[in-house]
Amino acid sequence: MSNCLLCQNKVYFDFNLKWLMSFQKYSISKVCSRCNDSFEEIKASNCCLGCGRKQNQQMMCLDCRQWKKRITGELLDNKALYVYDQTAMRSFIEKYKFLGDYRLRLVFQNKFEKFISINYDKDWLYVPIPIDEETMQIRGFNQIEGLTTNIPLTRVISMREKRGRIKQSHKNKKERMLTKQPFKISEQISQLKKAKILLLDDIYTTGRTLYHARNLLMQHGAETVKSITLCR
Amino acid sequence: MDEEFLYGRQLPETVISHNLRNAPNIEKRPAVLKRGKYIYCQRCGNKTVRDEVALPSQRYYCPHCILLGRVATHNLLYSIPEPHHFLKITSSPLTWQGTLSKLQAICSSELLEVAQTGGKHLMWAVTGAGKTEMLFETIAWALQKGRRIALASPRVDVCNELYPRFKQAFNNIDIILLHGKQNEKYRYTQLVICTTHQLLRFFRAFDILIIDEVDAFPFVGDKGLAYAADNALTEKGTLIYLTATPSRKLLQQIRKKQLTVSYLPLRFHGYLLPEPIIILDSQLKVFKKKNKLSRKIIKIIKRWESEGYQFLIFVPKISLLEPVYQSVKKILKHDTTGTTVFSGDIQRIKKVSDMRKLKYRYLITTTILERGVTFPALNILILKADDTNFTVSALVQIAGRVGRSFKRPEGDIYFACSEYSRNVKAAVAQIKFLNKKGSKVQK
Ligand SMILES: [Zn+2]
Ligand SMILES: [Zn+2]
Ligand SMILES: [Zn+2]
Repeated sequence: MSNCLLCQNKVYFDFNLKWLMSFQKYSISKVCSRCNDSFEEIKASNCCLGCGRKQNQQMMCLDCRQWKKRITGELLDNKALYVYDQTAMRSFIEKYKFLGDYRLRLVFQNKFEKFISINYDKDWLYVPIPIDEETMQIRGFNQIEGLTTNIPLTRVISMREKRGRIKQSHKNKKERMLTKQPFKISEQISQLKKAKILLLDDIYTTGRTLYHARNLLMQHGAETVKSITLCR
Repeated sequence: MDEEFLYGRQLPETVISHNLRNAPNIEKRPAVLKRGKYIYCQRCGNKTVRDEVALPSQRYYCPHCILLGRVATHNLLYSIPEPHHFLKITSSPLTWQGTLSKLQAICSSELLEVAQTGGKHLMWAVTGAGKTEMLFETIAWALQKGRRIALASPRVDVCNELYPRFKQAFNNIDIILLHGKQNEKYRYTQLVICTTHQLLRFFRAFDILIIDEVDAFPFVGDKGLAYAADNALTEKGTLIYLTATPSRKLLQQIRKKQLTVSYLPLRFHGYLLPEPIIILDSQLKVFKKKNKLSRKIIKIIKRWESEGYQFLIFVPKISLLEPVYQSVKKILKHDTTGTTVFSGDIQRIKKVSDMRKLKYRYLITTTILERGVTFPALNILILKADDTNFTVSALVQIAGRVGRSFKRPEGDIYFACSEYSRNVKAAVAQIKFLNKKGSKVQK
C-alpha cells in the first residue's frame, strides 16, 4: 500500500482473478485508479497520422496539412500517448515540469517506456529533446529524461547558446512557428549516418521544435527521423 | 526590489533580486537540511525520505510546500528581521459602526486581554456567532501599538470573505490579501489577511496571529499548521485560534493548559444550535444495491415538502449523488425541483445561486458549500453520517447551516446512519456541550 502521487489517497493492490491468471509480478501502481482514469488516452486508430493528435478518423489534421506545404518530404509521424489539452494532463505538466515535482515522473515512466519500446525496437536511436542550461539549473532535471530513465538514450543534440531566447512556453502559436533552429549537434556525429532516429519529447504543441530537430539530424545524415511525445 | 519586501519573510533566492541578497541586515539559512535518510524542510517543517525526492543532480527538494515554489538542499531562505516600520496611528483606526451583543462584547475584551498578555488562546464560538466583529477591538488596539498582525485561514473562501469586511472596518489601513489564487503583488503592510499556507513565506513577522476556522479542513494537518504559526509569529507573539469545532489535539492542549480558551455558545440572534436527531437506519447500508430510501427518511422528506422550507441532503460520495437524487425525485411532486452539486462541479456557483433565488427547493450535495453561502430557512439531512468522509468538524459545520436567520432561528438537522459511529457521537456531544454553556448565558 502506498499513496497516490497525484491525489495522496491510498492506493491498494487489486488481487483479482485476472491478475492471478496473468502470472504477473505483484506491483503497486503509483497512481490511484481514479486519477489514472482522469487522463485521456489516444488510440492508434483514432488519431492524426502526422502528429498523433486525437481525432475521430485516422487522417491528417489541419495543422499537419499546413506542415505538408511547408516541408519537403514526409510528415513527422509523431505518436502520443495522451491528450494534452485537458484538465488532468495540463495540471500534471504544470506540477511535474513547471513546479518541478520530479517524483511525478513515476506517474507515466513505466507506460511511456513501454510505449516507446513496443513501437520502435533496438535498431532505433532514442534521442531526447534537450533543455537549455538555465532551465536545467533551475529545474534540476530534463522532463523527458525523467520519463525515460530505464531506456538507453543517445544525447546527440543540445541547445545552441543564444542570449535572450524566449522559452517556447512563453510564446503564442504564431511566434512559435517563427522560431529559428534552436539545436546543434553536440557529439558522436558518426553514429548519425544512416541512423534511424526516434525523437522524444513531453508535449507536441505546434511541432516546430520537433521538425527543427529532425531537419538538423537529416542534414547530418540520418536516414529517417520520427518522434514520440507523452502528449499531443 | 526594496528591503521592505523581505521584512519578516523567508524567501528563496529564486524569487528575490540580486541587490536584495546583499542587503546589510540580511539573514540566510538553508531551506532544506540533510539528516541521514531524511531531509528536513526549514520552510514548512516537514520531513521526507531522501531517496523519494532526489533530483538527478544529487539535490533533494521538499515536496510538501512545493506549491509555494520548490526549495531544495542548495537553496537558501533569505529574510530581514521584522523592523515594525509602520506609520504612527494616533486615533482609533476602527471605522466600523456596528455594536456588539453583550456576549460578544465580553469575548471581545477577553481577546484584547489575551493579545496584551501574549500566549496561545482558543476562541470557541458556535457557527453563526459573529466571530469577525469580536476581533475588531483587539486589532484596532494592536494597530495603534505598532504591532504587525495577520489573520489567516486554511480556506481561501474564508480569506476572500474576511478581506472586504476588514477593509470596511479599517477604512484607512492598508491591508493585503495573500493566497494562491490571487494576483496582487506583495507589499509590506501592518495588517495581512492570508491563507495558512502563505504563512510559510513569513518568518517571525507577526506579534498577533489569528487563525480562523482552524479545523474547517481536515487535510490541514495540525502539525504543519502549528509549525507555520510558530514560524510566522514573533518570539513573544500572541496566537489566537478561532473555531466552531476544535480538533482533539486542540482540546487536549486546553486540558493540558497549553492553551487558554473562551466560549461564545450563542448565535448572533441569541438562540442555541439546533441539536441533531439521530436516525438509525440499517437500510442505508444496502442503499446502493436497492436504490431505495427507508420509510423513516421518506416521511421526513415528505413533511419538509409540505412545510415548504428548502432543504439540503448531504451524501459522503459523489457516486451517491445521482441515485439519491433519483430516489428523492420519485417521492416528491413534479414541481418540487432540486439538483445535485459537488465541490468540483463546474456549474456549482450557478446552482447555488439558483438555490438562493428559490429556483430549487433542495440540493443533494457532497460538499460543505462556502462559508458565505447561507440559506435562511433550511432543513438538513445527512445520509450515511457515519461514513468516515464526514469528520467531526464537517458534521458540526453542516449542522450549523440550520437556523441561521432571525426569522427562523431553528430548523431540522438529521444524522441518518446505520451505526452510531465515533464521529457522530463526538459531533453531537460538541453541540450539546456548547448548548449547555449557551443555555446558562441565555438566562
Ligand atoms: Zn489519485
Ligand atoms: Zn496532425
Ligand atoms: Zn517544505
